[in-house]
Parts: sequence; structure tokens; C-alpha cells
Amino acid sequence: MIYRNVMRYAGGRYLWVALLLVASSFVLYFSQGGVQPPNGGTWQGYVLGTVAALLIVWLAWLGIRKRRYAGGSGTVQGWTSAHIYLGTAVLLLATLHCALQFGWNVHTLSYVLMCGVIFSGFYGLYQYLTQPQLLARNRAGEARAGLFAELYDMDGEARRLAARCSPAVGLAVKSGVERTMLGGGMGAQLLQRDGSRFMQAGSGEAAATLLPNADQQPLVDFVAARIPRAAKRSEARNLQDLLAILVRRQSLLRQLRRDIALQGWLRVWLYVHVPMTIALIVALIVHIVTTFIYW
Amino acid sequence: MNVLIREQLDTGSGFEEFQDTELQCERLDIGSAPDQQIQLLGRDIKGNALQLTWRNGKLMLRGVGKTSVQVNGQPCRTAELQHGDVIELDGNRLTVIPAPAGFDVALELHRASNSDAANFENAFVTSLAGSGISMRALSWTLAAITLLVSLLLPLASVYWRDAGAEPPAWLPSDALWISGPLHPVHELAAGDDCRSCHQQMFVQVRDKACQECHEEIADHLSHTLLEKHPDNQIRCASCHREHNEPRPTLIIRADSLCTDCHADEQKMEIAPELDIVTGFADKAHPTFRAHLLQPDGVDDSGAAAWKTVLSKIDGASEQSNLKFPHDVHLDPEKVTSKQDDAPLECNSCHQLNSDREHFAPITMERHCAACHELTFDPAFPERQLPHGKPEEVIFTLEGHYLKRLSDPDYKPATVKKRRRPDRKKKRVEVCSEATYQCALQKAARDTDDQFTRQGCVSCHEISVYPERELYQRYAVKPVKLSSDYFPSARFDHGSHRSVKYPDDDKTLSGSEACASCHDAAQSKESSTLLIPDVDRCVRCHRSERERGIVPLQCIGCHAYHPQPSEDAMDPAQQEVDE
Repeated sequence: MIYRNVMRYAGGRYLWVALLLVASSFVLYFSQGGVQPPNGGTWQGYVLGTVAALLIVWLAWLGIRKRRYAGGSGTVQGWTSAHIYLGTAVLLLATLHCALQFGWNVHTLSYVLMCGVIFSGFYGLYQYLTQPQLLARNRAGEARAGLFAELYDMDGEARRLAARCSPAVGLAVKSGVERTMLGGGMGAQLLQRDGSRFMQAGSGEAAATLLPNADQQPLVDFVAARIPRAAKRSEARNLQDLLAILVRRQSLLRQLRRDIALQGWLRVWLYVHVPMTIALIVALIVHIVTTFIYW
Repeated sequence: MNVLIREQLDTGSGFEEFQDTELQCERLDIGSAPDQQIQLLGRDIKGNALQLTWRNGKLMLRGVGKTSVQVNGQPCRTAELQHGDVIELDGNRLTVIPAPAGFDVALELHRASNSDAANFENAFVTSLAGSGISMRALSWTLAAITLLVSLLLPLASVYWRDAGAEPPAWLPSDALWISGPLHPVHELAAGDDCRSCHQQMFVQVRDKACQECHEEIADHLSHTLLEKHPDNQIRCASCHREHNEPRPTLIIRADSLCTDCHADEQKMEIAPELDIVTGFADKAHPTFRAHLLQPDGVDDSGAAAWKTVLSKIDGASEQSNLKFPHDVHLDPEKVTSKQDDAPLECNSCHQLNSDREHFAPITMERHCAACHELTFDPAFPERQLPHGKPEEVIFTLEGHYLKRLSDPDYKPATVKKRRRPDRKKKRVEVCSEATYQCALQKAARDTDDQFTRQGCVSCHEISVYPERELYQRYAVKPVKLSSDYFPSARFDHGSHRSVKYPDDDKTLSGSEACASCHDAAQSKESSTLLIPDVDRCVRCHRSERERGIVPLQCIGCHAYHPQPSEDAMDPAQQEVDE
């Protein structure tokens, strides 16, 4: 599994590379302090900054490279391992480069963006190390398409049974099936927000109304409440069958919703990591240009 | 409006079966979201795709956003619907049918047949990629905002200001580019105007910008030396680095400021008269060379001129033209204070200035006159000679004796004391001439005594010209005491008022502390230089941090920039007496 291998790839080769890089950076940092205090403007500061900037660009390119599965040199695990360890090293390099001098300026902006990129990366790594097990357990060996196929069958079954019931139950179940919400926007996917509805026929002259049906429980309750009031035994059996289907469907929807959420959390950090990387590269260019505008 | 929705059901029985739903609403929303009155699932159907409104008996259709809908096979955004019109959206079909009594609008709905589960799954947005938030768009937006706010807008404000106008307050300024806080004084002077120092973009701050305010600062190297300097690229900002943290000062304290050049024999070839210095320790620092004063004839105005010569401490000899035996004055057997009969301390005469380095000038009136009165006639102990030019002394003596001898009550002095056998008989003044002549003779004799035997000559070097007439016969050599032997260096006497040497348990203070460096008690002549050499300093101070040693950096004693017109302001050249 890739997520097991990235950390220990080639006996942690890139861990040692990163440690070596960090150790030599510390040596360079502490060699400052004669004529000038530690600073981004000493020759050591320039070296640290240049190495960190080149690493950032290289790591961004690695981010693209490791997504290309075919061609080129090295393996995906290798590139990912390098991306993680050297990315962490950049955090220390840049901190030593700036000598912990921060302010409301474009230079600190680069640092903040870099921290955003690195810490979102840490979160992503954590997700990649923990989520796959949760995903597999939730799906119980089934693929997502299989779960949807099952839901599709259940929907058909529920519609068929509902058509045999009273118009009120029919409308409620049919609309409930149709207005079942899965996924949706980013927030709905991640937080498993359920905006499902079902339509309840109005009594007498009143028009039908849309009612919330979060987690399908209101619809289940609605159908369950009809069972004792069934006029005929066959109607009661239909309702019983319908209820059984609805409850199985409810459980399947929960499983799907959790699957969507887990997949979402596995990817959502990229919505921070990637845009911040692009912004970071721009901020780095601005950082370098402005340093030399007012040299 | 009252709406009847007649939906064709797919029962699989082969019969056409419909389900009617009555709705009452202001506006009929159609889309994929569950809260729509008519929910149509499909990958390309938006949450709210279509809106139907009933106004003045007309049914109007409007596509939300960029939704394009087909009405009777023609793509359109808005339409007025008539009976029989067919609206098609991603395979779903809505037909406007004649409304039964009690309804404004009736629609017949044929849903698209999603025959397989694959299409079914597509009806839901189940991945973040489909959630409507584009990573690419997010990236470009964030990058564009970064570029705009951090570079382009500040750049606009710079050009705005360069054009002579004040940019609007909301516009991000070049203050965003600052790499660290300014020194408070510079911040006060320049404010937020970066261009006051960074006058040209992409060009390092020029010395000219610094010198606009710091006009008086002199350069460490003379222009002649600078031209010879192999590495003549030193700017003010090479050393004075602004925007640095955390040190609030712009001054470099590291010894490398000096030793980068002064320890380098090759670099120091341009100034061969200077010794190599590698730090402050035994042998790392050359022995001291004191600035000593030497009489140098007379200047254009006829006043005494002095020149300064550099001399090694060892074997140095001063020429101040003042006779002063320190040993006698510090011997309590011989000299005590007239006020309290206590032995003299160093600070009885040498009083430290407020700069804690130099001492108040020594003057006859303030420091000597209390004991050394200028009396000359035992019969008139209150009469004193003026401490001035020789002719004034002679005038005073002549005036005194003229008055005294012409006094009707004057009686010549007689010897009252018995002569001791081992002494010669004291000369008795006998004058048989006129009073006027006698008085002048007496004055001339006393003058000669003062300048050759006892009196002025006790402290002063006197030139005697016997061939000249009386008024020009004696000349007091000009006196000048040096009060700064190292005008280019600093020394804090204040912090050395009590000292403890690493090899001595005792803490010295007062005159003892002074004497530990200045061996005055053994000095018989004023020509002896009482200034200690570097070996005395390195007992306690070295540039390297060591246990029991007070670290001392180059700038502890030396300044990089010479004082403006240092020679002219040399405090060593304070005239005391003439």
C-alpha cells in the first residue's frame, strides 16, 4: 500500500536527506552573528533562502510529477516520500532564513502561505495514513458503484411498493425517494448534511407540502404510523414491506454519505494545499523582487 | 398560483398511469435540489434550473443562470408558454396542458428514463471535484490577489507618489515591502517614505542618501587611502544595516569590523605605519603610542606653538615645561592638605569631567595657589606677586619697594637672630643711594631671586638673557599639560574608580585604584609619562570571553568614524599657563 511505503521508502532515504539538509542549515545559521545578527540578508541568510526557494519550486513540481504515474525516472512512492520529508525540511530552512523576524509585510506573507501549504500537507498525510482503513471498513468490501446500484434497486422496489399503497403514502414515498439528497456542495459532502425532503399530500383542499426528511427518519416514521391504521391486511403487509425497504435504504444512505464524506476529507486539504502553493510561488517571486526593488 | 402536476408513472405494467399532485406557490421552481417543487435528477441539471411564474394570465419560463432549456425543440432562456408547449431539460419533458377548473396551470411530466444505476449515480454530486469549487480557479484567484495586493498595488502607489500626488489611503503602499522595523530615529526622520533612502529602484542605498542628514560624519579612510584600497566598495550600508532585528542599534560591535582589515597584512600595506591587530590580548594588540606635546617655536601671531608627537609608552618623556614632582606631593611626610592636614589624594588635583574620561584642566589658581602662595616680602606676607608675565612681576616688585622705602617710617631690616656657627652670615641689605635707586635695586635683586633661585623658578622653566635689560631678561617657558594622550580612543575612568585584578583578592578604590595604573608615587620628574601600557589593560580585559576576564571589543575603546576635525578639537591641547 502506498500510504505505508511513503514514510519508510528505501529505508527512509529522504528522511536522512532531509535531516542532513536541516543539520547543515543549522550549522550555517549559527555561523552568523559576527558583523550582523542572524538575518535573511547575510550571506548565510541568502544561501538558506535560495535553497528553501529552490526546494519549494522543486517540491511543487514534484507534486505534479508524482501524480503522473507513467514515465520519467523514479517511483511514485519515491517522489511522495521526498515530497513529504523535504517539504518538512523547508519549514525549518525558511524559519532559519528569516531568523524568526516577522511583520506585516510581503516577506511574512510568503512564510504564512508556506506554513499553510506545509501544515495542510501534514493534514493530508495524516488523512492518507488513517482514512483508507476507515473507507474500506465503511464500504465493507463493496465499491461505491455497487452501493449505488443497490440504492437504485431499492428505489425501484420502494416506488413499486408505494404505488400499491394509498395515494398519500404513494406520494410521500415516491417524493421521498426522488428527493433524497446525497453529496452536493463541499460542505454537504464533508459534513454529511442531509437536505432530503418528501412531499406530504394536503388534506382536503390544502395543497401538498414539502417536509424535511433528514436521514430518511421522518419518512420512515410517516410510513410506520400508517401501519396500525391500515384498513386491510394486504395493505398492512405492503406497508410492512415498504417500511423494511425504507429502513434498509436509510442504512445504505448512511453508508454512502459516510463514504462520500471520508473521500471528501481525503481530498479537501488539496483545496488548501494546491491554491496556497500557487499563491506561495507568486508570493515568493514578489518577496524576491521587492527585496531587490528596495535593496 | 395553483398548479396541477400530472406525472406519468413507470409502473412497468404497460398501462399509462398518472399521479396528480396539487401545488400552491408563488413561483414554480424546477431543478435537481430536493427542495424544488419539481425535482428532476440529472448530471447537467442545476439545483435550481428553471422558474415558472404566472403573471396576468401568462405563464412565463426563465432559465436560471446559464441554463439553456429547449422549448418545442428550440433552445431558449426565457419564453412565454402556451398550451401544448413542451419544455425539455436533460431528457425530462414537461408539457403545458389545459388547466382543469380551479387550477391556473397544469403540467404533464415525463421523466427521463434512467435505465441503469450508472446514470443514477451521476445524478448525485459525490466528489469534491463536482462540488462547484474549482481548485484551478481557486489557485488562480489566490495567486492573482497575492500579486495584486503585494506587488502591483504598492507599485502603483509608488508611481503615484513619484508623480507628486498623494495616493489614496486605501491603496496598499510600499510599506508592505519593508523587511523589518526601521531604527526609531530613522523612522522619525523618514516616516513611511521608503524613497527617502531607497532613491532608485533595484539600486542599493547610496551613501549620498545617508549624507543628506549625516553631513558631519567623517570617513574612516582618507580619500587617498580609499583610492589605494583594493576593496573599495564599502558603503555606509555595508556596516549600518537597517531593518534588522532584534538589535535596535545600527552599530556593528563585532571585532571583525576592525580585524577584517587591521589583522590582514596585505590589506594594511596601504598604511604601513599601522601595526597589525588581531584582537585585544597579550601580543594581539600592539603596545600603546601616546600623543605627547612638544614645544614647537612660536606661531604666526607670536604665541607659543605645540606639536604632537606619537611615542611608545616605554621610555617616553614629556615636556610640559612645568616642574612637578608627584612623589613629593603624594608623600604624607612632606605634603599634606592645608585645609585638614590630610595626605593629598589623586582627586585633590585631578577631578573627573562629566564625560568620565577626561579631567578638569589643572590651573595654578585652583590647584596650587592654596599652598604655593606667591609672597615675596616677609615683612608684608599679605602681598603676593601676580601669576602672569615677568614684566608684571617686576612692576609689582618695583612698585612695592618704591612705596616701602619711601615710607617715612621705614627702617632697614636688622639681623635679630643669632647666627648659627654652621651658616654664613646673612647678607644685610645696605643701600646708601637715593631711595628710588635703592628700591629699584632691591626689586631687581628679588626679581633675579624669583627667576633663578626660588619662587617662579620652583615650578617654571625660565630662560634668562643676562645681556638684555631687566624687563626682557627673563622668559617663562610656556606650559601645556596634556589631558588626552589617546585622542582617538575612549577610556572610562569612572568605571575604573574601583578595580579588582584577577590575580589579587583585594578590591582597590580611590587613589589606590589610580595608583594601580599610574605609578605617580615614584615619579620624581614631570617628564615621566604616567600612562600605563597595554599589558596593564590585558590583566583584566581581552577580546575573547574568558572566565575572570571582562571582555572588551575593539569599539569599547576605538571609534570607526573619526571625530569631525579631530585635531582642531584635540582636548589634549589645553593651555594652562604661559
